[in-house]
Amino acid sequence: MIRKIFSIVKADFLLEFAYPISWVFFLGLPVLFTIIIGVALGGSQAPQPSDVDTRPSILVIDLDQTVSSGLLLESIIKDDTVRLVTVNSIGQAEFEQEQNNHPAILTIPEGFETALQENKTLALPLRLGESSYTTIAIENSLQSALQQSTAVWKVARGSLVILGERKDLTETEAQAALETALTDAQEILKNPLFSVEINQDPVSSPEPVDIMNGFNQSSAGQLVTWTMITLLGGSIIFAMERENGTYQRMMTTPTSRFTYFIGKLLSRLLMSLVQMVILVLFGSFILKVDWGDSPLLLLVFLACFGFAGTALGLMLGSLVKTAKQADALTTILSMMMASLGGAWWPLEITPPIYQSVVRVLPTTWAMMGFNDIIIKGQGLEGILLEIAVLIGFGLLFCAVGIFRMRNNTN
Amino acid sequence: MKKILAIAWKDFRITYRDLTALLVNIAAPVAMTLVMSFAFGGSDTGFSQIPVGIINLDGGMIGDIFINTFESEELAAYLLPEQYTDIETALNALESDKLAAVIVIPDGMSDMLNDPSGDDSAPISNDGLKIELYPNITRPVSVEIIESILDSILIDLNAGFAAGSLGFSQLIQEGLVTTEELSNGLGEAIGEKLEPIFGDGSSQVTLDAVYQEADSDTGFSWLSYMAPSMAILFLSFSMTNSARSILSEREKGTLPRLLISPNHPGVVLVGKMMGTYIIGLAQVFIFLVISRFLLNVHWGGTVQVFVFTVVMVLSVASWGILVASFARNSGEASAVGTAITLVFAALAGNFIPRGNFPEWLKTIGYITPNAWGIEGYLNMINGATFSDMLLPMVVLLGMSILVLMTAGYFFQRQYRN
Repeated sequence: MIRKIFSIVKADFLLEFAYPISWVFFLGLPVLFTIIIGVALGGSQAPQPSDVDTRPSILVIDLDQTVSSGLLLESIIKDDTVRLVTVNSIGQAEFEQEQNNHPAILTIPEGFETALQENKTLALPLRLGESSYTTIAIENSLQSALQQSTAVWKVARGSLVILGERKDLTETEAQAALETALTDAQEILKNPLFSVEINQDPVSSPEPVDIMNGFNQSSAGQLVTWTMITLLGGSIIFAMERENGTYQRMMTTPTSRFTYFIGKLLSRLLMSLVQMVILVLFGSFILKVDWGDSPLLLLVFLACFGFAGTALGLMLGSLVKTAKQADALTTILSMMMASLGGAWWPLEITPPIYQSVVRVLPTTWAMMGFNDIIIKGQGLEGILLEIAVLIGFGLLFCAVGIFRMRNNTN
Repeated sequence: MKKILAIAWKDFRITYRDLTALLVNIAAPVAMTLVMSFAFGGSDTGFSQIPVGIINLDGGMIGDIFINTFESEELAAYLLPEQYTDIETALNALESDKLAAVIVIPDGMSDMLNDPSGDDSAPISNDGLKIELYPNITRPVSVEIIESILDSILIDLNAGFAAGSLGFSQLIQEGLVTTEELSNGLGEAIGEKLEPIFGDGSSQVTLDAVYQEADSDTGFSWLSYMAPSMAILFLSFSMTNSARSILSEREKGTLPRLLISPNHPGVVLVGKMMGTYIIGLAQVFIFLVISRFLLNVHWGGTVQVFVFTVVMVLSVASWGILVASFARNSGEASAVGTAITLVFAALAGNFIPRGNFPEWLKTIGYITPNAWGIEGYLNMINGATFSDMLLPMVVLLGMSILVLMTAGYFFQRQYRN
């Protein structure tokens, strides 16, 4: 039986890689997509040499040139999210923008300090590029810096209000008191009373993980996407062999149905494992994605995902009428299932109900498991549920597939 | 011309009688757009309510400030706060990925602000005035948002208490009040006067953030982006499939039979190409109509949408035809066509909005009809007029002519004999 299984596996491998274009789907496109999606998701967080400043740059035109505008610039620098490029005039800003396409331009208008002093309304123009993770992060960072720097004025004015409750101040006295209060406020706010203490997840990886690295998402996500294409590709073989009678002829030989299905499923599983291991190695060594400390555990999880996908390929092959139909559906279904399951963008940005609904897909569970391994650095205990669900999916798909194949040919 | 149309019409009928083709051409893009709009809730950023657990062990004024802010109406669209009574339950929910973060407001935080000596002006140690945040590291984006909200609350809280501390010490230094008076309610009464400055947490000086697309009526939305994006992606798939039917006919022997008929070989090939084009046109127009009424996508002015679609479909179809012109068999056409479709889709931003791409990648994307198509439809959704659309239309038309001429050359080589 082993020899027969081996022959089926060998035949499937030869058939799969008969054309050079197969390698494009097997490795070329997955690598290309991992890089493109990683760059798009990670933006500035993509791995770079350590001496390169990868923060997004913003152009600041300080038309106010006062202590308050200086404080704002200091706060932006302190926030450390963006790299500041200051210019003194709009003309210089336009030239700089033409040379280097900055994702944001902030103008501190003349009268900024006066507005703070006199508690007047003022809006600081902030021109941002297209809405993206980077530009949203820039806006948040500048919002925080503005709030931080203008807090000094709030403190000073507040203290003056308190003083004014018990003391009638002349305009000159009030001005002098405000200036003193401003200096004192700066000192006080250097050591804020309240702060946030971030406690790491108790079961998270002891090693800090670069959680905003887009390649963490794309390496796992594109592995799921492209391996699904390989796995569902099995449906074309099943449909083709049924269509051209190979399956029926096989059933008339001493080769049992069991041997046939084991051989077919094993060949697809091995193919996907080879692909997944290469993609993991690419992610790990080239893109510096931390795929966890336990290669064995990772291999077990990859095998479980592979089994679920292989079985899905069998089921799809049994449901379609022709190999052409299977061919048309394979790529599209794989892409759809992968994207819906969180392989293309993090599921965290979708509503809770969506996150619950997409748990009907094996790709969702695969991504959950990969995230647990990559981001949380969890061991077997942490991914047991995902393993169990993927095996469950595999068994269910297998049962439906084999039942349908038998019925279709009887 | 009649013969060309007859061949085209035959291909069109065959395609739209096939259930798989209907699924791939019509149902799949609509379903994907529908799911995307559901997934991203039609919000500008793509973010929906972030589940956050709060444990208020303080029970005093400080705890109330945090609870009120996190449960405020302004944040209701972004946050889904849930109060927990014990940390273990909350951390379990965090571990099982039900929460993006857990915030703990420590016990006695408000009490610590009241110095036992009753001296409200005395400096307070900030040891123990730490809000604890437990992040779910598998949700980095959500955690960043929660952190920025926490920061915003803390900046105002710190400023408020700094103002009080500064003001009260001045009063005491100048002998205008005593510490006893302050602790007997005077401090609280004076503190209320700060309400106009710190009350609603808002500032008179704000940022006026304008995103690149925000000059339009609708701004960026995932639905507006994904609708054209999915239409073009699935059009590319169907064009590849349709164009390869030329090769399928050759393999089945129907094409050689057609070529030996009195028809000029060019008529047959143009008829086949025309069939591909009409299939694509029908696919996109059906999608435009369905998405308009089912998903409420406002595509823009009818004339420019019509003309742009005619040009855009021609451009996408031309790539499918080019693949069919040099492929040796339908299997190769399918594989190469799908590969090109996917590479174009990745470069153009069919899967991830182009706004997230670095400039170099955006520029590379312009070699594809997908990028011009997505941007063209987006511009029309955002109110572009016919004249605004001239450049993308000319580019797409130029691309089509160039690609079709190349395809013509390869066809000639293939079918010369």
